[in-house]
Amino acid sequence: MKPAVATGAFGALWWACQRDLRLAMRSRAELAVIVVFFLLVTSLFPLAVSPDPVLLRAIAPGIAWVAALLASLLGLSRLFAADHGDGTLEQMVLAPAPLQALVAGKVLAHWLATGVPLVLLAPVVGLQFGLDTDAIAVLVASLALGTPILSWLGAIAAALTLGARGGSSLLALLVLPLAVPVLIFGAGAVESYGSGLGADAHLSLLGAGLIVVWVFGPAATALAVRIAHE
Amino acid sequence: MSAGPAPGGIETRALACAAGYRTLFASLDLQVPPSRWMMLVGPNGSGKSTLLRAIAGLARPVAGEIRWRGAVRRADDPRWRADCLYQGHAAGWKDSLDARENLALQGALDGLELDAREIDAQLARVGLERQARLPFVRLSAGQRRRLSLARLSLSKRPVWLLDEPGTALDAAGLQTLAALLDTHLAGGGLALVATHQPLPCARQPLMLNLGEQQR
Repeated sequence: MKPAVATGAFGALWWACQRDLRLAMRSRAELAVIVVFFLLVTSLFPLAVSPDPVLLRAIAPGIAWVAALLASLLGLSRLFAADHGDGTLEQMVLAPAPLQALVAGKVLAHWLATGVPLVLLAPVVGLQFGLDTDAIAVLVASLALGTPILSWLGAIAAALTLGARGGSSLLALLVLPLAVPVLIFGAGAVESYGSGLGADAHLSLLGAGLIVVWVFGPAATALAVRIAHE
Repeated sequence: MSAGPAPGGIETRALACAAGYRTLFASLDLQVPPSRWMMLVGPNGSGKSTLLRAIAGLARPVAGEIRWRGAVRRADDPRWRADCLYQGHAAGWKDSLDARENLALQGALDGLELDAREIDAQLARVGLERQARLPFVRLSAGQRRRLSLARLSLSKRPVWLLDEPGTALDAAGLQTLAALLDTHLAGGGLALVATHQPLPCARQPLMLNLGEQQR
């Protein structure tokens, strides 16, 4: 397939997204690890906590969200470090195309490759814990809105820790506190739906968060990438 | 335009760069007019790479200014980025892609519309036609360098900043590099090349020894 020419913001976004998806397809094993990790972590809870269906139904959204958060951390350290190591990131910094658009394309590809599979697998996890159909729909919606926020927070942290020793463990320490609000509103959406309050407020807040990260994320990430090269 | 030294090329005025707290060079004035190339020599660690990175806009100089076509160039100016081609130690190729994909992607990032025929022609020119479909990780160091030559050959940018472009190249590869450089200079381009080995170029380089610049 012919790559898109990286001119203008959308050309650059599309170029980076296409490129990273193609690279992700070449390392499918890494993607599989993330999906398997997500399913394994959610399956361990009934074994460790208790097989009581009422209890499991109550903690299901929290488990799904914690597992999604940890799974999304797995692929993060490679997001910029691999390109930093082989010099391709340098060429992106120097390209005439806006760096903000290039990093946005990379983050979009990262979400499509690692976030979307989690969203698609969430119904399986929901069924496993005996959630009803509507609660599963809310869980899927909250993950669909929340995982791109996690990708952006991770991208900023991954760019900030470029070149730092122990970058990937530092990355987790940076991302986890920032991800707390996403976790609260994401898991809260399903719980508040279950208690009859409706999930609208939680989902709206997640949607607002998504807009905020898409507005500020590209500039913050591009700045961090640039600093890493100086 | 008429007064002063001929504008048009790359110029630095009182440029100083540091690595950490150590000054690599200070008050460096250099000038490379169009159709000339400058050979940067000097011992390891004398700042050749840093100078190239500073001119490209990757490293921030401590002091001084860099001028291009008679005006101070801003590192974040898209027009400067479209004029300058920087090739560093890490050539910027992905190991999991093959030579053809790598060149097509880099070309697209450089803003070039390339078709498959053009890419194959360039790969043949630098002697990679038989390796075009191999994953890059299987190629030798010299063959990787040759793909960088293919990028140079596609480039229409007037400023080339090349960091050790001859490393790992065999004699034929060095000849190709020199021929590319000569064509580039004949077309009015200019180049700064950090290198330890002399290149078999038809045009004589300007010399800059960064080892002598220190202190």
